[in-house]
Amino acid sequence: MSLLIVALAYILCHGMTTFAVTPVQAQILPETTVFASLVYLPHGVRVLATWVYGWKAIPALIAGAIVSDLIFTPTEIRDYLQPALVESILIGALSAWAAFELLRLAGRDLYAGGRSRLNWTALVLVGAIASVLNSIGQTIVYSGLIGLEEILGVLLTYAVGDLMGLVVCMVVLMFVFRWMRLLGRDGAS
Amino acid sequence: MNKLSALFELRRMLRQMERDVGLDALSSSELDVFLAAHALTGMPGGSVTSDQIRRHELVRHMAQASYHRALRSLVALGLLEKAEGFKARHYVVRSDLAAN
Repeated sequence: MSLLIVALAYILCHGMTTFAVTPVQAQILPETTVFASLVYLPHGVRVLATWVYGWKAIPALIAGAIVSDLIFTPTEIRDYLQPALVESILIGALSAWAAFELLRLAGRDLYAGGRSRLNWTALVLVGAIASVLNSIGQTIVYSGLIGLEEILGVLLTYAVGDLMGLVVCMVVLMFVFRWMRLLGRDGAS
Repeated sequence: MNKLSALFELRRMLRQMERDVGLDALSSSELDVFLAAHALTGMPGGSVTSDQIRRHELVRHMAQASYHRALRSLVALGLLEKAEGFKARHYVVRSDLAAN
């Protein structure tokens, strides 16, 4: 059930990215928009789900990415990206887990319930590492489709977009919890 | 880790984020009521009544509803505590804050 919620959250965030971010970005950066988003909200789901469930979140993230792709990616773009779509989805789903594992190997186990209590800045750090890993992976995977002059732009868009997506997710959740708390306080009084 | 623990830890982390970005600061009404209560507390751990706070010059001109909302909020935030052993509403400024 929990992993179904992860997949649904991924699909919801992907949909919001498609309908709210992509149209604006397509006006500003049309060359990179087909590959990467400047505010990729599902990265927040990747990091938060992996923080809670560890590697067990990966199948749910893959399922969410596949369904999102089927629902939101236009057929002509999907056909264009098809040669590397599976690898791209796998890299995206594995990026947060790889970041948590890298930090664990470096002596900082930041998974939920681990020894160290996670600060939000540490979660942003994990998200940043995951975004760099994802960015490098995606650029390699799509290297055959991206022109040389566009590689740096795509690389940066992936890295910045993933990180921004995580930050936006955390800020939204922060306000949701804040409103719940304040409404609860008003309701109790 | 069970779902409730994860949710609790997420809320704790985002509450810290709220504080760090300055969203958890007191409103001006809350600050006035808190400062009035603090000023009226004679010694650390001493109590002050709701009426005493209400008559303080910082609070005197505040609307009644705003005053009560601010008072409840400060109690909910743990900055004021209801004093035990009194019939009327007495409050204690949290001792570690009153000592500073």
